[in-house]
Amino acid sequence: MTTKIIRLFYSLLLTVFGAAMLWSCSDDDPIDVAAEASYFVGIEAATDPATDVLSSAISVTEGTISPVNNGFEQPAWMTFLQGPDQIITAGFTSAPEFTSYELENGVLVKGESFFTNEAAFGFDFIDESTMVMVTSPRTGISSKTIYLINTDNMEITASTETNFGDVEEEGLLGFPTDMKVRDDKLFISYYLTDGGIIIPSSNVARVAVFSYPDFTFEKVISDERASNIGRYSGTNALEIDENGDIYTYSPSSLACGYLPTSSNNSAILRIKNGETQFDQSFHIDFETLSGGYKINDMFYMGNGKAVLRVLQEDETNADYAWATYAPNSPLPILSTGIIDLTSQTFTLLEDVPLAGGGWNAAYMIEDGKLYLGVSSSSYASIYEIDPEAGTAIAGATIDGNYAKGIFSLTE
Amino acid sequence: MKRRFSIFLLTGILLVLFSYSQEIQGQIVDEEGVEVSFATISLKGTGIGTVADIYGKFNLSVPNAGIHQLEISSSGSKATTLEVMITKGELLELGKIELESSISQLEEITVLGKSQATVVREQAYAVEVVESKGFENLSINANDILGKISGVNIRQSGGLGSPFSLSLNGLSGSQLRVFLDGVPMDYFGSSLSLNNFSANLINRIEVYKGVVPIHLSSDALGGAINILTDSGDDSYLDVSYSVGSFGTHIISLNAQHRQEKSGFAVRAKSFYNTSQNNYKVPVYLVNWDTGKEDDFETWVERFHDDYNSKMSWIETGYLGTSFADQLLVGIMYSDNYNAIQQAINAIGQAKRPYGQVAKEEEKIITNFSYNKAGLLNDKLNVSSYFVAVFSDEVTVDTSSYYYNWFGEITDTVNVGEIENRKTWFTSDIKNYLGNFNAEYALTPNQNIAINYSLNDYTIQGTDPLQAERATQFRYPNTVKKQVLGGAYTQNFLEGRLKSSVFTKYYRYSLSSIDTDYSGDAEIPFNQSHDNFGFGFTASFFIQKFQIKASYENATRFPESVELFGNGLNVRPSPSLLPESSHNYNLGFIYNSQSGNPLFISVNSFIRDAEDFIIPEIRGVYTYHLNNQKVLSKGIDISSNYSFNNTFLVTLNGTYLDKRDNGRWRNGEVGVENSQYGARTPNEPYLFGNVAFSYRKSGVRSFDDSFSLSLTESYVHSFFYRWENLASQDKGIVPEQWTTNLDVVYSMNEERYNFSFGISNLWDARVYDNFQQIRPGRAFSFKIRYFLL
Repeated sequence: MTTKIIRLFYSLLLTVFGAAMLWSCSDDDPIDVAAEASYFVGIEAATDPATDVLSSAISVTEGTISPVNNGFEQPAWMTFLQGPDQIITAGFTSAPEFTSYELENGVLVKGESFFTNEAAFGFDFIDESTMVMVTSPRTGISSKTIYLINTDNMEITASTETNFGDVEEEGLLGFPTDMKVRDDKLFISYYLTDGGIIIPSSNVARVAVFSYPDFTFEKVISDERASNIGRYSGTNALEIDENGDIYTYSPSSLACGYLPTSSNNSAILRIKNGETQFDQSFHIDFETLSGGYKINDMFYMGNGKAVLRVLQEDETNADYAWATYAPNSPLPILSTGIIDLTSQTFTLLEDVPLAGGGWNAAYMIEDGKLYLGVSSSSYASIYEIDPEAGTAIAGATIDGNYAKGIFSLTE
Repeated sequence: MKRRFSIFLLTGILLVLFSYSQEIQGQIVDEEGVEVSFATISLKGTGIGTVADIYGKFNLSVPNAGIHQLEISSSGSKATTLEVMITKGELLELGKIELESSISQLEEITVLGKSQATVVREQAYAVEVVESKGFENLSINANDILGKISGVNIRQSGGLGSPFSLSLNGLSGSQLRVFLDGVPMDYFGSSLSLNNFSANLINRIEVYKGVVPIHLSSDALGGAINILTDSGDDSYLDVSYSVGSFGTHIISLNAQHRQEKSGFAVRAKSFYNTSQNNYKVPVYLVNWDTGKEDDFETWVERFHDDYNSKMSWIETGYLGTSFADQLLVGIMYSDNYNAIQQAINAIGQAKRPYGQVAKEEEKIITNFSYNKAGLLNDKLNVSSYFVAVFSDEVTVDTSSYYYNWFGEITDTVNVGEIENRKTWFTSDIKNYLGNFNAEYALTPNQNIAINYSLNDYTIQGTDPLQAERATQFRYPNTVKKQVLGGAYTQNFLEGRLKSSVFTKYYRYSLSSIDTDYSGDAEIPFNQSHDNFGFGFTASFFIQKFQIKASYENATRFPESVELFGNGLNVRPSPSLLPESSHNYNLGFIYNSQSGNPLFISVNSFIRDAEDFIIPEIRGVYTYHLNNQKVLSKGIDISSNYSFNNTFLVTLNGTYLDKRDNGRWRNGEVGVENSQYGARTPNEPYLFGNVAFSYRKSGVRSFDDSFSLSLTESYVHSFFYRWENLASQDKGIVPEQWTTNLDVVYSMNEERYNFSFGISNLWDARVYDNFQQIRPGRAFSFKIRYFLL
């Protein structure tokens, strides 16, 4: 009773107190794009504190996609993944949560989730109900874990601890950059690191091969024509074409965090369908082909064509270290181009402005076109790239720091 | 022989919680310092008076506040009249009053005596003062006292010794500077901190909002907090023991002995705190085989959160002599051990608790201080200190296991628990601080002051478990801050109008060694900045009202880790600029002098800050950049009302309107920032407390007292992230009410004190940080023996 009186009394005081304030906030009415939306964009909406929002969008080719009063606030700095019938957001924390978002009666709803001990750095969706992924410590030698996930109820079906790639006597961790399942094999690209900063022994491209779905380690395949495959927290190092051939790219760049930088040129290698070896007949020396560019991302589009994000750098200038992980950089260095893997020709897309990059690229492939998140300190937007026509046009603008994931969902 | 008497202001003691009537205390002595027994002390024209005891001590109750003439007479001595200003509800401690042994006529000499707190509060600065009197019988620390002050918000992540963040009028962390007896504690670390400093050691705490006087010399962007431990010149003994919930024990021992004749004194202050902090928290347990979280809460005990700290500080020298008011050298030892239950930035209860991670600190501080007032015909006051701090801070993460919330080992991983590699990181810190201050009265109504301070800090890190080149601060990092300040103060209209202007010149230099990206070459890295700051204060008295205005153009320099990095993942950002802010205060105080006393203080403030330093992550690197403008406006209210000298109500509240003031995203003109004008997230903006106290003297005997107080604290709910972003699943720190109850019984004129307290009386779920639950209902019992 006494407490009630005290609280009432104090509430009154505070009400008067609060009402006396001349400054009041005016909230904008929520814009209900959710009902009409079929596109969704993960946006890093603010820097301090970093706020990620999974927002709805009516179009990715025009207008502005804004997280203001639109979408699901994320519990941490997230990685956004596109599944066949769902979006999965993955926390970039210790003991991260993986949450599914699905369409229900045309509206995006938050679904089930699961937790793992460590953050995941490689994913592959097998079908509408199955995903594989690999979690890893970022530094130090301890086991990585490969998981088989039921994405319908978001539950771990099986998990296998593994220490592929680790060189314990030298304190080196084999750190995964991407994974792909092809038939009964699982391929995981990785690099060696001694603690997150120094990447030794980088003149070799390495892929660990496992059986699928029982995740038995089979072997490591390596190739000294290129360098480490993929990059930290990227998810497009292994791309599979219509023939089942796997293409890999090696950045060989300081900008991708490889210190010291490989003396081998940035390159594309291939593992042919049915093989568990690098195809010795295939090697694109990309730096020579492009006149000095290095690969940062590769998106296989079909018909032997892939869209690449590429950069030029001064390997001796420490300012280039991790330079493509600066989505709001005032000095963006990423160009965009199209490579024909068959004819081995590369064309820069002059219409796409220089971009600051990021972690895993924000992209969506729809009707043979690539919708790619492009940002720097002065803009954040989506570009529509047509690899067949060799054209690029500006699409929707992002009201935020940059797009972290671009998605299309159908029920 | 000069016909004047000196007054040594002892501990000015203001009753905040338990102040009901006005009292004057003092001790009559002769020129030799010998007590004059049985002198008569009376209030001129009132018929109110008393007789001093055999030791010359007296205690006089005064029914009405205001200016009074205090007449003191004794046979064989010259009668004296003092003019004293008595503030409502406060105890005026006059200290030693010297009577001259002559047989002359009554001399009329005017001395305006005020309690220390009143003197500070009446400065034109926007300042809040809390004296520990009334708190020292309770089981609380400096943070608990500070948390009651309007404008101040303290957020703790757990129980005793847990990390906390302090904010004042919208600025926080290193934007505020904390001082211990005027010495900046920027690099004092965790064993000597606001969360373990027992109320018994504190004389008073001053909080300067936004505008900071030159003698508190540092790069304080948003204000300064000064903890004063000075305990006056008297000999005393103060011992207390407190026991509480969650295995908490707090012992404090303070003593001072001073030889009356020579002034030679020895002072000791010490505390020991320990707590298990094993309060229960709700967790959703995870089955790590399926990855699925329970859909129900399980209440588990925090099993690795124990804390202990101890401190012992001995000073010796002279107090109250002709050559120094205070000349002391001292040595302090402090250490602490803090078990870490989970990552500090975890949201709520971490899925994986830590079972072995701990931080330890060991520190030795030596200090020298000198001050003397009244030099050069009472015109010059000087003070100076030199402090050297040597500390080792250790972070230990050598676990080979993962733990679950039941304290059980679940996996053997052999890589520590924090960052997947074992750590035994020691940072060796050396910090030298020096200060010189002088104030000179040009005329009775004008004075000038200068202050110079130096703060020199070096940190170096070692880690036997990690490769030498991958250790934080593997090369020494040195920061040197110098601040030169000057102030001019003038009084007009018989002291009713006071104004002061001041300027500060800051010089900041840092040096370190960076490595090139290959880790092989060593690159010397030096940086220095200098800056001017300035400000003014003004105050005007109209009868019971005081109006105050103040302004400062304030600066905070980048911390060494922001500018230099840590030699590991945090990279140098050499082009960082200092943070700067225009701080404005406008306030008024109403202080009723009669009847049932009423005190109301209202302060409105603006903090227009820019170039906030924020982290930016690229790959595994963290850089820092200047990219945030923030405009804070708000109002603080503090008030108290007492009636019948028995009941006291105090009310403190703050409303803060802190908004992103950056129109352009990334600072580049052209891209609109959609948070422009939005309230900044994760910041309480409406909070306050109300306390009801009852006190009765002479309960069972004439010299005992009983008091009871009920404190209700409120924090309005706030968004964890930006209010205008997203529409679903928004993180909210809910509204919270906490009630604390304290009962104190004192005997023999407060020589023996017993207190019993219940915090969080209704066992409410309270959160300072998003989803991080704070301890539930807790009990404490404290015994204190105080001998003056």
